Amino acid sequence: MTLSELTREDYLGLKWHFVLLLLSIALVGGAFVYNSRLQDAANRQVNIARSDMNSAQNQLEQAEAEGETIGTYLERYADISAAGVVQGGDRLAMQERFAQIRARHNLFPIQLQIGSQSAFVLPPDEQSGNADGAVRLLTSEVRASLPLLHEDDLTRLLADIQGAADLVLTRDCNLRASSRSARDFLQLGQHMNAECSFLWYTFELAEASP
Amino acid sequence: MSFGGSSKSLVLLIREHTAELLSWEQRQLTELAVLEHDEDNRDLFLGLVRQYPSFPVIIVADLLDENFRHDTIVHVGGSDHAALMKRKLDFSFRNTRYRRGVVTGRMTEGRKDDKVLLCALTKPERIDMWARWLLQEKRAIRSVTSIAQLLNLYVPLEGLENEDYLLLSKLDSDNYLRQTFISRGKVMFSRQASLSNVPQRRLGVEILQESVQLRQYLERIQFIPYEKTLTVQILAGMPDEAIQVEAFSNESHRFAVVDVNAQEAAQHIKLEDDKVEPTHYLLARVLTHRQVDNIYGPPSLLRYSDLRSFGKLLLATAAGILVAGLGLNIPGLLDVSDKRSQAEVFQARLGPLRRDYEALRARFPDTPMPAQAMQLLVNTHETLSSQDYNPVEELNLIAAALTTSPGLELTGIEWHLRETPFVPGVDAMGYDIQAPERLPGLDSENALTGVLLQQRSRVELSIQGETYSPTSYRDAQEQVLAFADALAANPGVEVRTRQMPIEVRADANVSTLINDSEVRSAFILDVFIDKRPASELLAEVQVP
Repeated sequence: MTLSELTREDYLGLKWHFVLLLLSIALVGGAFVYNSRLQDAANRQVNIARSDMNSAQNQLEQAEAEGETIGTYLERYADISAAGVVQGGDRLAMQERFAQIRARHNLFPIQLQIGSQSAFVLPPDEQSGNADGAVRLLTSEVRASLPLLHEDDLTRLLADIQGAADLVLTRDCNLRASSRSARDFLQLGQHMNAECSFLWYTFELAEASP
Repeated sequence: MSFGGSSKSLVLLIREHTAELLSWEQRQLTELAVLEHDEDNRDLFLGLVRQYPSFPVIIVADLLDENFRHDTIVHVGGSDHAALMKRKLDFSFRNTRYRRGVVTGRMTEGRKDDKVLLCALTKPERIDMWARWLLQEKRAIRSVTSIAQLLNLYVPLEGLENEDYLLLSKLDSDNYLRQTFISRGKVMFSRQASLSNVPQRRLGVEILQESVQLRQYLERIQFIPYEKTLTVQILAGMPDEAIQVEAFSNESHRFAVVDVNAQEAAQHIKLEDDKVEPTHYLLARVLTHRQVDNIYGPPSLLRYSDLRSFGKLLLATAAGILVAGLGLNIPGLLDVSDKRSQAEVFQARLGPLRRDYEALRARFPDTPMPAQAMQLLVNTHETLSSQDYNPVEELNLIAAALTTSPGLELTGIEWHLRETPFVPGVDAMGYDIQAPERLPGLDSENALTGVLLQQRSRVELSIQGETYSPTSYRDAQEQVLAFADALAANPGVEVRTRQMPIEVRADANVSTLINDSEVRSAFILDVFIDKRPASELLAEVQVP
């Protein structure tokens, strides 16, 4: 007997069988759907919990690293900050310093030029990976030219500039003799000219991004 | 439920004069009624049948009018085979629907046709009446077969399926003798002979005569060679002492009587008069171990059985889907449970981590900026500070070197902090050293800041002066060279002569005024100083 030979009466006779078959299919389908939803929910739950735990773990590790960093760098930072390096650059103070050096060593007049300041956002290094854009390096070029009685005038000037706490790096320094004979050196006067340029660095904290 | 045998069922055993209704349940064959072929027995019959509503019915015919014919058909398959077989059956058994054709082998010569056995119950009215009543009652008729066909199932149970020439004879109490010839487990021929008028003392002789007569027929149709012995097994409700046939065994016949009352299967047969017939024994034996296949029943007769089977198939499918589906969901549920446990474990760890974090943060001192920014600032400050060179060091270096050359007079010194040029090469692993990339945003006048941040600076000097000698050009020249050598003797210092007092290279033009005055001429030296610590410089020299 094939399905095509079944009459309406036969199908009616088997209605409960078909109902049970459909019911079981529906039940199994429903179970699959329900199971799938349960799994999705469980996956979400476990992912959220894992993410929360990883996040907390990372926070803790970062805090530990931050604590170590603070312990390592805070004192050095305090020294740097006390030297006035962490500020915009006090130009009057710089002029005052050159005046004081000149007065202290009886130097000939100093021609001083302080160039305009340029800023550069420091890229993070390997150790400070999260500090991208947090610190700006401010640079000003300082030019000083003066006649010298003797090389020691330049030595004293440079020693005083370098001895200061702020960060001033010598970039160029030209020393040229103006007297052409040894006899000239017997006279008290300007025997040499010195022209030096310096890079004056200060730091500034970048404003936090909104 | 039955494993290997038939499940519960009703057996309608149709004989020449009666129909016997038996039930098969829990391996017990029970006689319910013996009825004559009479329309008046309808209600009685159906009343009995209704007492077993879920039992399918097996109709077993044990009639004289069961014919077996052998023929051949062309060896074809599929619908052609079915059509040929139908044509043969129509030709041989036109008047009955209880018929069947099966292929029993193949000719070895000629066209190699299929050998076919055509068999039929040629007195259908004996069955039709009972079948009609059952169908009216919508009872499932599972199969229609015959005693001869049941022997196909019986023979393997007795281990006789390898017998080449076996004549199974069944002698019932009414002395009807059914003789069925079986070759290698296949029923080839069957007939029924009536010995009802034969006295018991002559049964053995009559059985011998019937057997000899049948053998002669089988020899004639070439089913048995003349020289072969025919094994004759007689199923009877009495022992050989009563029949006395085994004594007639000779080279052509070997008789053996099986007393069904002495068999174990007889214990499972419950009859009114407690006298087990060979037919009952055969039925019980087969039903215990085998499902009874339909042999003769046309599809219309098996309609309700097919519907019942279809219904069972639907239920089995539903149960299978349910079990398989739920079974397949179990791993998923276990996985869900596992993941929930994991989530709980993670959440349980979360609290202590957060408490540790808060406790740690509480211990932090106040800082003016984030720790990483502070670290970057301090590191950058130290990087720049490390390159804060004092030109006085180089002036002292020059002063020390000048002591070797008193005839030199310096007119100018230029001190510059510049980038160390990149020198291509290979590293320790053999890879080319890549030129450092400039920091973006630091170019032109701020390029030096980038160089300093990358710690690639060096000091460059340009020393201008004059040399003089009262007498010798060579002496003036050598004083400059001695000064250069004295400078180059310092670690990390490289000296190049840009201008010598007198260019004496072979590819240069020499032009000078020679008079009585002292020899005086200008020179320029370029000095490059690597300011890294001496230990680093030494290490670099040692690496090839």
